[in-house]
Amino acid sequence: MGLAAGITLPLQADDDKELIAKGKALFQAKICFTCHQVDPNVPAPAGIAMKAPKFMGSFWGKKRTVTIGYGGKDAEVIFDEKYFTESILKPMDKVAKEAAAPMPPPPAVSEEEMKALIAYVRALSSGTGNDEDEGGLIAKGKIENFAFSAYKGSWDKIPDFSKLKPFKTGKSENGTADPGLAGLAENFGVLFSGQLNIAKKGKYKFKLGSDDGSRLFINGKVVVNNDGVHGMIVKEGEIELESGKAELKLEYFEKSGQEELALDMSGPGIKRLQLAKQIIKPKRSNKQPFPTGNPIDITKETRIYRNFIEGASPRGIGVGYPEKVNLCFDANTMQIAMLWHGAFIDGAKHWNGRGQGFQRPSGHYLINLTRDQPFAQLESKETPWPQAEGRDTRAKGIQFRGYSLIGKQRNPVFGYSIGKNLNVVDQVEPKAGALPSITRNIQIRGNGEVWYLAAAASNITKKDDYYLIGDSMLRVSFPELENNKPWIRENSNRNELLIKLNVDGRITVKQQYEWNL
Amino acid sequence: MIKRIIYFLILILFSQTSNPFAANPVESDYYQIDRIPIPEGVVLETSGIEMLPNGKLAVCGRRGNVYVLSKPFGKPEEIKWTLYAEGLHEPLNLAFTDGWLYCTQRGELTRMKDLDGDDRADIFETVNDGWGITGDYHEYAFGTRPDPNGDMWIVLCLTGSFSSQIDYRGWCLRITKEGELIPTASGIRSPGGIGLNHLGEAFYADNQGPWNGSSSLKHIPPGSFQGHPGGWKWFELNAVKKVMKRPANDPKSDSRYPIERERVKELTPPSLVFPHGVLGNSTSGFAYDGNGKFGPFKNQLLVCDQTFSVVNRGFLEKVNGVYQGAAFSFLKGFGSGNISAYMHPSGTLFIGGTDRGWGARGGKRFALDRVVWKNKIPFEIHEMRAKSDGFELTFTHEIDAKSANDLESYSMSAYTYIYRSQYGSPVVDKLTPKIIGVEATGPKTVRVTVDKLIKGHVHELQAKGVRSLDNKPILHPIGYYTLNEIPPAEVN
Repeated sequence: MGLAAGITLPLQADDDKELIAKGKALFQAKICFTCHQVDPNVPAPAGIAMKAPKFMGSFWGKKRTVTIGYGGKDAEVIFDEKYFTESILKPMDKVAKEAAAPMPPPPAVSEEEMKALIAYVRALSSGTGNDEDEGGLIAKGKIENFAFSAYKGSWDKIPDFSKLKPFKTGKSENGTADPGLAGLAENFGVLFSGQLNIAKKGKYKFKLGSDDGSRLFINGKVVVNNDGVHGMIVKEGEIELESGKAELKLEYFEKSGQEELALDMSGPGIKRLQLAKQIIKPKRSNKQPFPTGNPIDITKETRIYRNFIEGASPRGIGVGYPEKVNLCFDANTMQIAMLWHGAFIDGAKHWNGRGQGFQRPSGHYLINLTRDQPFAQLESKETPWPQAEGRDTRAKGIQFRGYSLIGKQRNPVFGYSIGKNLNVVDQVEPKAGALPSITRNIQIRGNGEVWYLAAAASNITKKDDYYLIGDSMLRVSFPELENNKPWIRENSNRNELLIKLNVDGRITVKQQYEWNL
Repeated sequence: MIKRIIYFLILILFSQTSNPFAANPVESDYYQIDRIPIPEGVVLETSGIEMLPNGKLAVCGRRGNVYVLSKPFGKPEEIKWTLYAEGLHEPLNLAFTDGWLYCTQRGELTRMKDLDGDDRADIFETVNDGWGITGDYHEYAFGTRPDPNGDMWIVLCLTGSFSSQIDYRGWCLRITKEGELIPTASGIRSPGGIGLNHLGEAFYADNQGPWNGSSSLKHIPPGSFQGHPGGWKWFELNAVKKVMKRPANDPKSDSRYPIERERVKELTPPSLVFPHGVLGNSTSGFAYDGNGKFGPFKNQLLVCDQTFSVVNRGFLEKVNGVYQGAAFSFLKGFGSGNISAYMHPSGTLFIGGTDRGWGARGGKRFALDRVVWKNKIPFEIHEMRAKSDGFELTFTHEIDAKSANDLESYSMSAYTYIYRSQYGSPVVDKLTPKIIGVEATGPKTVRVTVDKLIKGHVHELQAKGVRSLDNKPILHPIGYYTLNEIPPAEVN
């Protein structure tokens, strides 16, 4: 810090604290925080996938590259009040170059609110001294004359390394205590040694966090003992040090699972110095973290992920297309339960530990559709649609048959049967672009009359050739529909978009799903 | 040179005769375990193993992936892996039949096929998805190969392994060739595997927990009740009513199996108890050698334990119409937590494991191991049969009569577990039946007579003093016999 503070923002002093506080609250209320990270220790999960700009470090008043329109020509802008305001009001006009997608329009922002947001975001730019949290400030330190020895073994307590033979020893220029130097993931220990440069005599505090156990010695004395097999636990200790060199010895071992080691030092003239691989994170709230670490990347082929997916029943089938659009087909109801853009899904929740719970889709612009079964027989125009009341509700009279993977891209084609007389082939054609979309081709064979539920929402309105679906980002249309006119009916306190189909041999319904941004 | 030859001869002499200092045999003298290297970047928490007709081995893992391995009997490092399928929902078995590769996913029985010969499945048909899942991770589904009737048996873990919150949790089902679901048995708690014996009868492993004092292998007669009443509400389903009746009596907690079997006629006791903490902590998949190409244990069950990373051995017999028998230690040294087992007709055993969620001693996160017999027969208790007054042991080699006829060579204890609604059970009702007679009745046979046998108890017989004719100790000298029934006295 320091340098930037001097040259930027003469105005910042005028920003009244109250306004910043109001802006901070709005930043939450307008859900900016879900994508724009403002604290190095609190990731913004949705923003990771979207590569949303972070409001950290020095950014206000700085140049940034944008594209004119999403995917358009590059241009340079200054991150200032004008650009900030424009970005909120017309997010599609100038899109940050590094972003994976443009920002969805936030809820309406009034002029007053805009002022507060500006004050808050400007204050986030480093050098503005808004945040008194010392935890946010960290500098990389160095252990001098750094050396390590790595040992193999499975222990429940730190072993006596002096009695063991290392399988690997070495030195490292950057002087960071990194368990990764052992090159092993399980059943190993590392002994780090070196010196700390103590500029001022005084009391120094050390925070030692590790998974599994660790112990810190300074000048031969145990300062922090964090021994045992455990997850990331932070302990701290203090010691008086003379100026000059202090001898450091750090023991660490890892049995199984995660391996983490964090060591922070603070003292006279040192706010917080990072000496090990990880940093000590502030205590998390009780909120379930968004598990990441096993992203299912899509390259050339479409990929399938059948698992517990948040927003669908336990029989969710995630489909990630190379066109950067994804869906979740619900094999309990045969409906497309969700659509989203960008990153597909992360296996971390199900692929670690016992794999408990439902994983949310990774990407952005998530649309939750009705999960009600797509087909039903209606006795009259007033008969309520069979609804998926609970997560486990299964379609009545419809049996899932599985799927085939077709073409070079191996796109799935889902099959199910309605009653005894109708068989459905349900195929999605993804379309790439600035805002990818899908076309759902539903082919029904057999004989009989059946109703198709194209959408259900609090409110469905027709606009030109499109149907706008409630408050969602979704609009649907039917490019090839001739005889079977969609019908918006009000029933069960909602709008339903229905199409009556008389199947005599074969009939195809094409439905386009687009993002209405 | 001559000196060396003499030395060599002495060495042979000693090793062949009664040198008391010769090293005792170890498992690896008889069986070789090879770890098949899993390619970098592949995570295969091996949960199912099956041979394909093209000579390739199909393996599946808990992450939902299926690989086919070319030359699975060749050098482990030369085996080629191809991704056959992915994105399945925690598949826990594979079975090839009628041109399809079947697999049990959490929510359905699926069959897959590669249509264009590129070793990648192109079609995934839902054979049956007639049971419920709520999203609880414990709702596992294990399946078998087709039985002689063509049916596949599926066992479904309870919700959270404690209750049954959606249809058929805690049940065994059969799925016919036509895809029809037949409710088959209630009382399942938390299975670790299911399979068929050489007669095509289904057995499954259930893990220690409520209504299950120790992990065990259980026979599943259709219509039976396997111990945990948590899923009984599904007796109200029409599909169940058609084929089964709710037992007239509910089981009582804090009881014992023999007592509750009197009250609840459908209650089937465990065929083989693997004493908790002794032979394992978590019984799982099994295989058997139907051809006698894997050593002397033809048709015996080779049963995995996930926690201990071992394979135990089970000898079974039917007494008074009920399966029971003896469990023995067999092989250790596997890479991870063994859950899947496949025996190739050539006598090669494949074992797959994972330690995710439930730790295992093997140490690896996941593994695929291959075991072959070295054509040398270990000295083992081959069979342990119950008699009206004790047990009959047969050995894999001729026995040294002196040690076999010595009462001091044997010891016995008997114990059982509480049948109760609480989790697990301590070892209770411990007794020490007195061995009153031992007699080598044949070159490989010993009759052990005891003063009492206790119905429902595990009878642990240690035969540590018995030596083979060539003076070898028994490789695994302890048999754990689950005595559900005491056979009637034989009429001579």
